[in-house]
Amino acid sequence: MYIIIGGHQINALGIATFVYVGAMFLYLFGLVFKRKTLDVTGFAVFVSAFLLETVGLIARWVRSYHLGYGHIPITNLYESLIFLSWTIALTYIIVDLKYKIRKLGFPISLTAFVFMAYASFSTNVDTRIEPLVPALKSNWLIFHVVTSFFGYAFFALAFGASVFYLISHWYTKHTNGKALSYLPPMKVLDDMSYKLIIIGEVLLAIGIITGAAWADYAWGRYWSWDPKETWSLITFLIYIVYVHLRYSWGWHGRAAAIFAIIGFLFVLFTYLGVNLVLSGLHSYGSA
Amino acid sequence: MDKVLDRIWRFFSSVKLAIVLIILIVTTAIIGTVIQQGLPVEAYIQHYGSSTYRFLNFFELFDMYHSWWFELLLILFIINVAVCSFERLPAIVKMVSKPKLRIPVEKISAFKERQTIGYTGKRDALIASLSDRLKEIYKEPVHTTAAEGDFMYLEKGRIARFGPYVTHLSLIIIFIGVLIGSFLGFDAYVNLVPGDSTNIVRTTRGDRDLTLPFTIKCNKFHVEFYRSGIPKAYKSDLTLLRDDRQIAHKVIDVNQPLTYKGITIYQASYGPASASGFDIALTDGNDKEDDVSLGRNQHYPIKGDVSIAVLDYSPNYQGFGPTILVGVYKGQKLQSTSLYLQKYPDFHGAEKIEGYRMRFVKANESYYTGLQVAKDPGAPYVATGAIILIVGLMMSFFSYRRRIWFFIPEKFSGTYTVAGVADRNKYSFEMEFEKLVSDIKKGVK
Ligand code: HEM
Repeated sequence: MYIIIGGHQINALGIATFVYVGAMFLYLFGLVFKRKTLDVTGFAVFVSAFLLETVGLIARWVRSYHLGYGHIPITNLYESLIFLSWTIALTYIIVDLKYKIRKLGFPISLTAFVFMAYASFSTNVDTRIEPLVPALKSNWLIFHVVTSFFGYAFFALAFGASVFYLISHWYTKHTNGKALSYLPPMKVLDDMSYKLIIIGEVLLAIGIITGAAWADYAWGRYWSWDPKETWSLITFLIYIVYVHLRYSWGWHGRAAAIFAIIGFLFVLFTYLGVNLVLSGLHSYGSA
Repeated sequence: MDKVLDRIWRFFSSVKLAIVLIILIVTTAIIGTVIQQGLPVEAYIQHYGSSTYRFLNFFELFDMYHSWWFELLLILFIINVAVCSFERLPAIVKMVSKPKLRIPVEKISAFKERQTIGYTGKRDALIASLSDRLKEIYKEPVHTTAAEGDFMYLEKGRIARFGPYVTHLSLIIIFIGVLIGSFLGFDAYVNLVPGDSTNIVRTTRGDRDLTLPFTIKCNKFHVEFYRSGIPKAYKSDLTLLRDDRQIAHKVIDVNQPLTYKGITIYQASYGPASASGFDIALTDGNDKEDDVSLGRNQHYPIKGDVSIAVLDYSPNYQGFGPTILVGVYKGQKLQSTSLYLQKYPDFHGAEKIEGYRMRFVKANESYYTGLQVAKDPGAPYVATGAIILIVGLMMSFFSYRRRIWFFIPEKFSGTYTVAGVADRNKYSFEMEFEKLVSDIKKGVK
């Protein structure tokens, strides 16, 4: 969305997309040349891209008020893609500040870039600000979307950590036990992936429940087996299987990492597949 | 007999069964998102052909979430959760209420987290300062003495042990709520034109008529559009009557229903009422225009036995705004149809009907309001269960039980031992254990 600075229109979201690319290359060079300064610069550039994206989202929000619609920018496919890349970026920044997993910066900036680029350049995606149909005018919408999307973001990070785990595992196996020096130790990745998944699981549960509460207020039916609902329940159950396998049967390491990666495919289908492949009630379905 | 019961109980107490059931539920639930549910029979026959239709219908795949086999899966699943939890809970309660304050000394070497720490002072001084130091940096230890020596026991995150049981209990509560709802509740709809009233509604599933304990009267219905034709708001002014006395009144809006004695009336939809009128202007090329107002499907004679009628209406036809579909008849026979756009009167250019040019002026639409009428006495249970579910997940996930024992041997020779174990989060515990040991090494000298 455009913001005006000194009489010039500036497309903050467009610029943010390219700044993410910059961060991605810095992180990539950081991985290849093993220089700490590259990682630090990558993180700084990533944070700038995130801030620009935040400005762009706020500008869009404000603009929707000027158009007389006044709604949070998460109501069609374009906005939801941008918002998802924003939640993933924010989640990564927070997790990085706490756990120092800078190496995840590469896949995360790649993901943020892909979502934003897809949102901006795909002909499937409508970038206009649309008014809301009455059913969507509810505070539950905000709780529901924000919790679900942060859930997706944690699963995405867990996916990244699990991919790193498998790479490390593969490397160690082929070098007779030498660890891959530029990734965090394998047990750290394993633990991180699990912790990210359980946070994602709680958020997803809250997302499903707020969605059901909203449906109950709007239609008097908290559950109607609509495809989106059903798929988010399926995703929740898949990760519940993961939790039980880990807790009751002690799965961890490679098996758990593979499971986490498969779990993320369910997340992706719940988020995108349902709308692009199946039909249902959700607002960005008719993108 | 007891043996059979025992086997059934054992069958249901297995986590393996839980995983099999979840995978079955997930797989079948996916089928229901691929095959659209609840369409009219004709739509399926057209799409699948009649033999495939009969096959799929036999397995109730067109309403599969309510099929007997899917419901059976859910019931097995709930029994599984209940039995599984019931079986394990007593052991957990005992384990938590009677913690192992001491461990066999010869088992210490089996702990993954363990350390032997040196101490140069007297044994009694060590016990005192260890106790003080632990209280300060970790938790107050439970001190016990046995023949082989002194133990200090530390435990954190006990609540996490109950998390799974709270979570599993919440599922049972939710399930009970769903059952109550499906036996004692209903879900129905009714369409009303302003001015009309009724006490009969039609169920969404099963298409049965239900008589309400009151009459719903729609006084007014109002719908507003954005410029693009998307609805902005729709509201119904409703009165509930019993024995001709008013018992409730409210203007309901989407997301703003009216509830009376457990029955809730929701603004669900709207649609054109049959009595809609359309204003049309006709001109024969001279400057005089005839203004005509027509109802839907009402014929208007143009010349001789040629007449026109408005057959259909769209408030926003493909983004071009209000549009009507007009049919030209000769006698009773439909000759041709064409579209007239309110915003683009020149769309038809010079095209004329029997020498007349026609313009669509505006629609005097009247709508019916689509109301959903539902009662769900199970919903409060489901809501309570949902909240408990979140609490249980948080108890399980955001905390974990870990136990640490310090052992100071009776025959003290300058070293003591510490060992610890966590139920989960082994890696976090490793960090915590290392930090605790290094703090103790620094602080207790
Ligand atoms: C949607 C369904 C279910 C949910 C949400 C759920 C949730 C949970 C959670 C959160 C935990 C704790 C895991 C951890 O702390 O890492 C757990 C543990 C467990 N669950 Fe479930 N569960 C479900 C179904 C089942 C079923 C059907 C069974 C039946 C066999 C089962 C058996 C267990 C067992 C035995 C434990 C370990 C408990 C302990 O050792 O204290 N769960 N469950």
